[in-house]
Amino acid sequence: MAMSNVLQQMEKFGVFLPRYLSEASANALLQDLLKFPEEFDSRVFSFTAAAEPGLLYQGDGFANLDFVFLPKLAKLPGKGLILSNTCDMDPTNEKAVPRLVVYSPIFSLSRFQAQLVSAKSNAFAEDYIGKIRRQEISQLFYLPAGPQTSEESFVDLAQINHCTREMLTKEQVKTNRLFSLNNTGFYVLLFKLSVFFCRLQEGIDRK
Amino acid sequence: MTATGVIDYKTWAAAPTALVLLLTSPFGAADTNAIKQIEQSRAELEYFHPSTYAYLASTEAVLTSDEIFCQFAQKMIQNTEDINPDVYRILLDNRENLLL
Repeated sequence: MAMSNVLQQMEKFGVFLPRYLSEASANALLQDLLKFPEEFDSRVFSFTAAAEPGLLYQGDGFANLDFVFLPKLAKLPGKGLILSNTCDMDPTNEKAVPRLVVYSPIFSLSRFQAQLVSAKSNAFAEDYIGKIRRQEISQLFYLPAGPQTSEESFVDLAQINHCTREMLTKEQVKTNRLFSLNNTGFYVLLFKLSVFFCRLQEGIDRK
Repeated sequence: MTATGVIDYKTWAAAPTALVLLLTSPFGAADTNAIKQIEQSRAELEYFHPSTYAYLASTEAVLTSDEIFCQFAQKMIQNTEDINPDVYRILLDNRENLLL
């Protein structure tokens, strides 16, 4: 895309982009969104939060979280994607109530594909996994393979668990944080959360 | 906003604060103090956008535009579907083994 055209689109798209981004970052995000869903790859994990070791970011991947899948009561350890807002998890922001962190489980895409093949067919599984990869299933957030998540995976935004913020100590954040999303990954995550939870087309007049 | 409830994209682009307030605030548009406060802190408003642009993105004006945001929104809205019930049952029945 010609630079003049990019700048023209930037002006129009500007109201939808986070205003704290530098021009270079906004331009990179714009280019990524233009190519979406192609090239939604391991670069979404390129943001490193090393400078803020204790801070949790919305969209962080985290290991050794506890999951309870009701109605079963067994507690399972696993990886999850943090859905809470970054500000709400910042210990320096004083809150009058205990902080809770909400997160959803991260599932193996390859193992899920094997289940689909077993229950359906190769063709069905391949087609459906393609939809997940292209972020076409509203409640599933696809994650490409990356340095800390060696295989492709996905998050079910409906299977939410929670813990207290205090359970995720600075040391645990340092040890168990798998990744933080870059601007593109975060933007797509927020869009998916918005579509899944916040769309205003229920068609019900609540008078 | 038109009589049919479709928000014109140009209107949104020109006056995002008022629309953000209309769409997200319990105060309603009549609360001028709320509008004033939001106008004063527009630089911090970006976190309001995600909860509103999903709505905006599904409006006719956006879905028929060829601007980049609109193209992205079209992919994210028009190409999105509910999870297949059979597929979801397989996921729920096997989630303990699928959990990474």
